[in-house]
Amino acid sequence: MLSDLIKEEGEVFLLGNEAIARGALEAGLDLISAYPGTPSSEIADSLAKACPLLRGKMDYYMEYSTNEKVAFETAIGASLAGKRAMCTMKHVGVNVAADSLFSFAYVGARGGFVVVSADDPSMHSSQNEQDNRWYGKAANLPVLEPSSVNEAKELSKLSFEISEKFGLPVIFRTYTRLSHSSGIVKLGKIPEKRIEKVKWERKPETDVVLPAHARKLKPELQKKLERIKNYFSEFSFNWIEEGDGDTGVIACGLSYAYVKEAISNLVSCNSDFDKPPVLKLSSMYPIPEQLITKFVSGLERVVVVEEVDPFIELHTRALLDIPVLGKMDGYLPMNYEFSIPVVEEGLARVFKTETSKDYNLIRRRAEEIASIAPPRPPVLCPGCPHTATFFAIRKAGGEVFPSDIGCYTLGINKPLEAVDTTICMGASAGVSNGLSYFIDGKIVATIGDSTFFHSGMAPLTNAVYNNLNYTLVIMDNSTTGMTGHQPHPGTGKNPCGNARKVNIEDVVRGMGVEFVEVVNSYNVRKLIDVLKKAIEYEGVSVVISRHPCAILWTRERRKKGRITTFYVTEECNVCMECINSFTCPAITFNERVEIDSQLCVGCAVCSSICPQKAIKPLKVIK
Amino acid sequence: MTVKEINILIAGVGGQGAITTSSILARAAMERGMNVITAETHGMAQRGGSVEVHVRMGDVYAPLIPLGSATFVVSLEAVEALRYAAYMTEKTAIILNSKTIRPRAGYPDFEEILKRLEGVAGEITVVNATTIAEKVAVPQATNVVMTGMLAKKMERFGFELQNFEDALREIFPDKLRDINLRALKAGYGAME
Ligand SMILES: Cc1ncc(C[n+]2csc(CCOP(=O)(O)OP(=O)(O)O)c2C)c(N)n1
Repeated sequence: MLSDLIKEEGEVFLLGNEAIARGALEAGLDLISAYPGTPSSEIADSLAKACPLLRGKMDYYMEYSTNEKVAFETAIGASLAGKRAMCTMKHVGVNVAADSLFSFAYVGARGGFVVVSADDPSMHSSQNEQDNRWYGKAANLPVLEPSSVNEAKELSKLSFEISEKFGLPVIFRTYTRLSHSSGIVKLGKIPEKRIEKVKWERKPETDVVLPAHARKLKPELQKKLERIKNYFSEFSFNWIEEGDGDTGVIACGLSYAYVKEAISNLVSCNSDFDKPPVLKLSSMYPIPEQLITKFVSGLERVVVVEEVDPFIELHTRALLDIPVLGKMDGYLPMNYEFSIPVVEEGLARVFKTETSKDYNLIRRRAEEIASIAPPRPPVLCPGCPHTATFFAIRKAGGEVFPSDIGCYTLGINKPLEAVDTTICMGASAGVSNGLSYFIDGKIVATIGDSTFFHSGMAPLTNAVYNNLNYTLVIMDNSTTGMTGHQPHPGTGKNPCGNARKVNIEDVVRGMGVEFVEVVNSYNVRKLIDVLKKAIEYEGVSVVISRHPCAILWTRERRKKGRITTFYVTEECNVCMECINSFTCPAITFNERVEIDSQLCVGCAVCSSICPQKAIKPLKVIK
Repeated sequence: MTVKEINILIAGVGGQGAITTSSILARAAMERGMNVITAETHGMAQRGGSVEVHVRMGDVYAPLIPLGSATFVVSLEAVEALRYAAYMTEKTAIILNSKTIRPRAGYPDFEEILKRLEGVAGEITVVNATTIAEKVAVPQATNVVMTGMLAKKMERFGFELQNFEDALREIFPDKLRDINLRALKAGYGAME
């Protein structure tokens, strides 16, 4: 809760992401820049809400940036000015920022610089399961990973000091299960602080990565890494817990929690099983070699417990001459997030003992019990303007549907089926460029407004430049819907400071697109007409389908008064157009077509597409 | 009385307030000086999808309840409980809202739901919490009514209604406080 996030002292209950935010506040953060993405979003969202409340006490700048690379570079600017900066993003966001990350490693941090990468083991809401600890290895940067919510706060705060002490940007890795868990956090002080402008100090020998400079900077970076490696061997967030036997357990990040409970379960059910020694690690890179070597002295083998890739396992194998067990030879699963049972099963394999429960039996039995539970797949909300847009695209004769990432990816589902490809943000326009060379069919690509600003502009400019032929529909719901309604340049809003609105149509025209039309998404007839023209147009055409996100629109109207819902009259001849071509969670069919007035938000789109004109506003009958 | 571990799984449908319920429980545990961790589902499951929230109290480290270890399952919607059978054992007590939210894909027979749950759990209390919420407050307070029911059940671990009332006061803004206190008490009363 916001009030707990900014509380002065005591013990409070915080979401993992709020704990990371609190750590940054306690470190006296000067700037937070972010592009939203699950599971990272609440870090920046909570700092956005706290920003005006802390003004005058603890000042900092907060911006939602247009994409992760921009967020990263904004934070670089702050760091080069000697200020403390954090930028937050989901794991795939680091791919977008990677170009800046690799070079900034050479330059080095001046003010504390922390990039938070929120990974998503099990892909709860992501397109892949990449393990961003590799970025530490590849870019020669330290990577930290907390094992609990309280530790997330402590480490987030400490990251700034580490960054300044070693002159390096720090990668702070969190993941869904930690970011979206809540726990008790012991608060430290938020310092009193104003922001003062400083004079720019030129340091071209480090700040300009000319080849001649870079050649000198690379060995410097390696030296810094060597020093930090030694520091991590003494790091207070890495520790050894004594135990018995010849096999040690290395528990990384949150896996430490699983290891603790799994071991206690194994001890409770096997009288001959003794608690093994455990090395708890929160520094993931560089590998604390001395500490690991010390831990294994006297041991005959170790097992590494870590989520996603066998990262520490591989490094430990290279370091030690005793057997290192883990994912690579199947003791623990290679994919998906861990849990107590998964780790207990893995340890039981290693220690040749029994798990406290027959988890496989439990899983099988549960699957059978759940088999009659109907699925509740995510759907586009009642009144979602995207539904109307997809419906219009199909009616207008679109044939090939490159799309993008956002709520509108749900347009993949029946009956809309207007999403054929989703690769990563911005790829709708990018992929359309390539398809348009070869595919015989009318290409109608879809992209959200936030996604357009994030990474849609470059590929669209490419289409103008190379004179390609397709239609790009920008689905402008005036928000970043998918990740919790963050603002973006098209909204002209910024929770903490001044903001100006950037008009999508001006941007598109400025790029040289000649066919540009803006249509209200709920005006389906007009939308179909315009789309037909856009599809016929030779060259790249852009249609901006605009209506605020139904959730925000409905919230606004509820504040003002009642909402007019719709109902199905006797004239309905059950042609099923509203269900089989259009679709809405509020429209149900059970012998008759009906509208659930609890769910209907009164967008009137179903009424406008009903061939019988059999859907009417409810107030008419009163 | 020292309690080693209490695991509570809250199941429901997006918008039913499963996360708010977990916040009340967590603060009630803190009132009692207990450690507590909760884990929530976000993202794709948000709108109209199934939502599960795990609440773990006591000597625990990991956010998710281990399989076969739920002390309580609070199901804000009837069929949702079925999805979480993996967490249940013969020691699990289920509090089940008999109110249904039917997705397009159909809905099983209520008796069949109960029969299946009886096969795995130790105890099932079926109540139409939504009706109670409508009577004393608003239907949206169904989750708080069910929290009140759970509060009664948790007395055996030393919890008192007061802990939940205090928690609730912390969480809800002034204007929603009284209505939710009524819902909490009504739920508690329904279990007596
Ligand atoms: C590189 C990257 N950053 C962030 C995300 C998370 N993310 C998924 S969709 C989306 C934006 C959705 O906004 P918009 O394009 O406006 O569509 P809407 O959801 O509003 O329909 C974001 C930020 C991602 N998948 N990849």
